[in-house]
Amino acid sequence: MVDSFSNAGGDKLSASGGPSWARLTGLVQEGFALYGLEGQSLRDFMREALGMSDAYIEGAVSTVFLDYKPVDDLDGAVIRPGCLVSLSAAMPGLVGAVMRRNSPYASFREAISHGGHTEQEEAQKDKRCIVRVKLFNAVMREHGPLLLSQGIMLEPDRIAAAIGTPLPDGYSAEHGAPGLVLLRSLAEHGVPGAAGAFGAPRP
Amino acid sequence: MDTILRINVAANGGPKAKAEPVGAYAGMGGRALTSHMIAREVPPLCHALGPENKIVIAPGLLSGTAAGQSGRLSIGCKSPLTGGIKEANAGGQAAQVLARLGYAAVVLEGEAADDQLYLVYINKDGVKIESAAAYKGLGNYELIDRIKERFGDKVACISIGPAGEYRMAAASIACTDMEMHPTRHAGRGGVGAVMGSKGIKVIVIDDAGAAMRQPKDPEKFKAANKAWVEGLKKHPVTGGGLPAYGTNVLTNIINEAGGFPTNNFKTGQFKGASKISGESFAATMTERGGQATHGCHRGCVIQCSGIYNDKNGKFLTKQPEYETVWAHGANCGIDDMDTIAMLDRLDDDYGLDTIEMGATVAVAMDAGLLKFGDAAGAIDLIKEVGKGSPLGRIIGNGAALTAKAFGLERAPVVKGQAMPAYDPRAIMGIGVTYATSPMGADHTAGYAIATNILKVGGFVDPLKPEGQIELSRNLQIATAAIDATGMCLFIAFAVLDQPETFQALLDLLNSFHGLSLTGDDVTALGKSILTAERDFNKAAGFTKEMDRLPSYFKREALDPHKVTFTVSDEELDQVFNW
Ligand code: SF4
Repeated sequence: MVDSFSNAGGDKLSASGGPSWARLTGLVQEGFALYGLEGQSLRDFMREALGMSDAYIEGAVSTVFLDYKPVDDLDGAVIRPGCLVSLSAAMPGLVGAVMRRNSPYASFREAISHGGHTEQEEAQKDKRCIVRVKLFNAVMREHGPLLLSQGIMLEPDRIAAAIGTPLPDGYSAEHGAPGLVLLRSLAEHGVPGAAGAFGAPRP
Repeated sequence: MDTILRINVAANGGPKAKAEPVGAYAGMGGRALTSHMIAREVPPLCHALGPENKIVIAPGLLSGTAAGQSGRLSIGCKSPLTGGIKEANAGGQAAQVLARLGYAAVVLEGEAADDQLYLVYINKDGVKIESAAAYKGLGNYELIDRIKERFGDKVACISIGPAGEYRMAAASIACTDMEMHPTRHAGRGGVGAVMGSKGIKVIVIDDAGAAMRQPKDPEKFKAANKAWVEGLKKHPVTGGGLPAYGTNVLTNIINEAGGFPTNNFKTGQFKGASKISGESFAATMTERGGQATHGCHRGCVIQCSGIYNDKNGKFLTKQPEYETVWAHGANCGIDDMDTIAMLDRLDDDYGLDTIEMGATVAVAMDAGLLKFGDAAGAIDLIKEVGKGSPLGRIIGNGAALTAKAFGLERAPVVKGQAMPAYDPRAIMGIGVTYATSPMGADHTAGYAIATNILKVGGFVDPLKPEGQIELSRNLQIATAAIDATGMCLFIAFAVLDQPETFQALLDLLNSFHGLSLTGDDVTALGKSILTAERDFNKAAGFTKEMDRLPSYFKREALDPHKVTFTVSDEELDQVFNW
């Protein structure tokens, strides 16, 4: 976990995501940004940046995409700057089953599956980079509120559209992430109309 | 379930019903019964709307019992859309009620003697048939309201809307759900047109006074049902994802995989996907006082359905399924939930297959009749179908005919039937099933994923490239077998991952019928159904050249993965080599 996302000020975490959660689920499905490390395995990114336990990764996050490609090997797939990580629980239907990690039906999607190790040696190891993340269905419901309480980065106009009000003055770009601001679901921080959706602006 | 009710619609003085013993069809249910009866009794070369064709309506082997999830109904005929054999499957109350009255099947045969419409009423005392002239032209919703006024709200109905009366090739047959809304449809292949050609508007089934079907071994059956229900409830898909979000939970995932056909299969991703996802629908339905978790019939354990209210909190339609959301949403470039829900309502009311209609509207958009994303235009176009205007008659006959009428190559069909919600270039294995299923492009044909448990055709190595041919074959066999039981296909997930749940299904069948079926017998059953269907199609003039996707799927690369369909014709021809 990159330390700039620590939950400053002892704000109350809410398992349900607090009052702003309902309006923020669209943003979480459509994608937000976090910091990861270049060359880091997908599994390590899920552990460290997303704060998922090994048991949760194995038991609940059955469907994983890296740059739209279904992933079978979480240790072989690696984080690259600007890559997109999409996470879901087990899905219904034949095609839902086909998309699962290590599905017995993986041959149905072999044309689009993630190939595992990708130019790992070329990656600049351990350099901080922006990673786009989408959470769906049960993973969104179970893990989204926690992540939001820790802070996620989004384009300001998307946040404003979701909460139906312009961002308050003083909001500036996240340091090192041009065009993105930090959003946190902190309990009732008086942003009029925003139902406490914001953390403090980044210094 | 030892009686077959035959209704001869050509009889002098109006349709006449005759009950007969199940005879040669003993031990068959659902798709096994419909397909074997059609293969045996319908001349393959007949016209689908002519007197030789029949409609066979059959509950499954476990329908009408206390077994959870057993209320699916199979409807079979020669299809006016594909020209081949058809089994279309629906939820709702009808299968349970019909089975409880002891019917293995209701068969509509002959040719309507005149332009009259009839109502068939079936209860424990027998069958009454009367004129339905007063119901002519009614949509399914108003029809069912009138039936309710007359027969009360405890009956189950099987009916057609105007599309069936117009004998359109995309016409469905509606079954009422637990709230007596006509929301569950045997959608595919134009079965509603065949019912229309028989002059039957509605079959009202009343099981008042009829008992639940009793198993041969009640103790074993009770234990098996307990294990069965527990298995369904504990699995993350059947006990979690499906109840919470419905089948539309797939929208985000298939879109993420780049296999979500958008704008008439032009690309594999839709910008507005998250606006119409199962997650977004569930939130809206709950907010408006609808229900995000609901069964389509009594005894459904999984409850993948829901209730969709309009902006004023008034019932509009059931929770649209994934295929409907895709067909009327992404495939038409529409990202508005209320529009999709309204189109679902109109399809149900006119009695239309939502997949075929979504695919057809998209073809019309591609042909320039209206723009992709034109929500109001899409609603108007479906209303034309309901009116039976000349344009509506084209649209109501499906994607292939509409493409032809507007001079467009890009009709995403196999054997005349529109493809469902998965692009076969990104998910090539499903393309194998689309190409080779005797039903035409059909996602449910290879849906049952229990193959490696059943060991149908031996264990398949999924990592071998040829895996998708074997898998498609095995999936089609397993699906055909499940379709014979009356079980909803969504059981497949629990059965796949939990061997004890598959055993519970076998135990249910065995203890109810006094049988000792094994996995091999289930495989043999699936194969016998597929063989009967393939033989019918062959005699109807189908060749292996019809087991193909349209050639543009091999030519035009799909974004974002830039993939084309590369399974060779020779490989496709191996699917039914067993
Ligand atoms: S799981 Fe869904 S489709 Fe299957 S029987 Fe239940 S409500 Fe109907």
